Amino acid sequence: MADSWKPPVLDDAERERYSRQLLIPEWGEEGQVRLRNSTVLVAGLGGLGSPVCLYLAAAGVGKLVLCDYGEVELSNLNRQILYGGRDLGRLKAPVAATRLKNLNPSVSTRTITDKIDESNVAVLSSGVDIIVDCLDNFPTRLILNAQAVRQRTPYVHGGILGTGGQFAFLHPPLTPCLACLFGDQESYPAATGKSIGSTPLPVVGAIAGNIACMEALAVLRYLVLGKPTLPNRLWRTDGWDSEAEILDISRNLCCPICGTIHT
Amino acid sequence: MITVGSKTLEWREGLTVDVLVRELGGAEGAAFASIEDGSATGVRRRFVRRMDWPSTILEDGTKIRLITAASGG
Repeated sequence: MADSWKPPVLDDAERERYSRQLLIPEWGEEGQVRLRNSTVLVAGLGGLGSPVCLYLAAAGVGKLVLCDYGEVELSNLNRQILYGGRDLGRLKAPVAATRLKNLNPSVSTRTITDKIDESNVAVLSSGVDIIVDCLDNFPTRLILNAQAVRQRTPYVHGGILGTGGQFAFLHPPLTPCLACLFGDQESYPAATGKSIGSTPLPVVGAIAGNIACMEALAVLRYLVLGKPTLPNRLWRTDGWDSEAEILDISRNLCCPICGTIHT
Repeated sequence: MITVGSKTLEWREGLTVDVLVRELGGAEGAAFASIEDGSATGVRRRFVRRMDWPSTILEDGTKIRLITAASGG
């Protein structure tokens, strides 16, 4: 939960700022206070992480843990909408924190500029209410997924390629974990997120926005209502032709990560 | 006939996703497949994990989309 204590009601400025979402019947002031008291880990601040952070900050999430070790590059700017030309060469996480603070000064941020690995994943995930996967490779995703399972924290997965992408809300034992779906990634030549082999991956910025908005909505729904989005389904789209499909997914009962979790 | 994206292969008894992608190629980096089964059982879409490809037997008329979607942008 966020560091600085606030009374369990909204002040006038908050009522004004969030007035349009407060009109949503299931949301209300109670939901907004829950949001204000929440902490979200956003892992990856690229094409997915940019819109996720912007929408979560704008909606009034209390604290965002911003995790990315990369620097802003010119080739990022077709899709990574947290950044502009003046940010080239700067670390993404502190630039993002400044941008988000400007968008909504009541949001607090913690920036992490280390690469996520087995040695730091528990510390950087500590105390968060939900984890948003905006990462660009499966090995790191699987490290973060294992930590999410260990601490029983929901994990919102997003991935994109070209003009398409997918989204899933994962929270065992209600749903599979990421390893149930993609656990064998290390056993064959995998995309790194930047490339497949030596070929750079194509990405249209708008599809990153599309999948990121699904992720942000799922986070907000969970934090405000306590409800999962599309449990045991994987939502997939090709935004180029506006096709979408919802696929059934299920737990791998032999999953080495979540297979022993039953309640 | 089985299709993977724009490629096609004659269907045969016992054909699996694994064999299909090996013969047709184009699966490098793919994490899962969206499979639309043929008309024999009515159209239905399935999520098939990479780890299940060797044991997923296909029926005639199946359409497969291999999906990587590994990037975060």
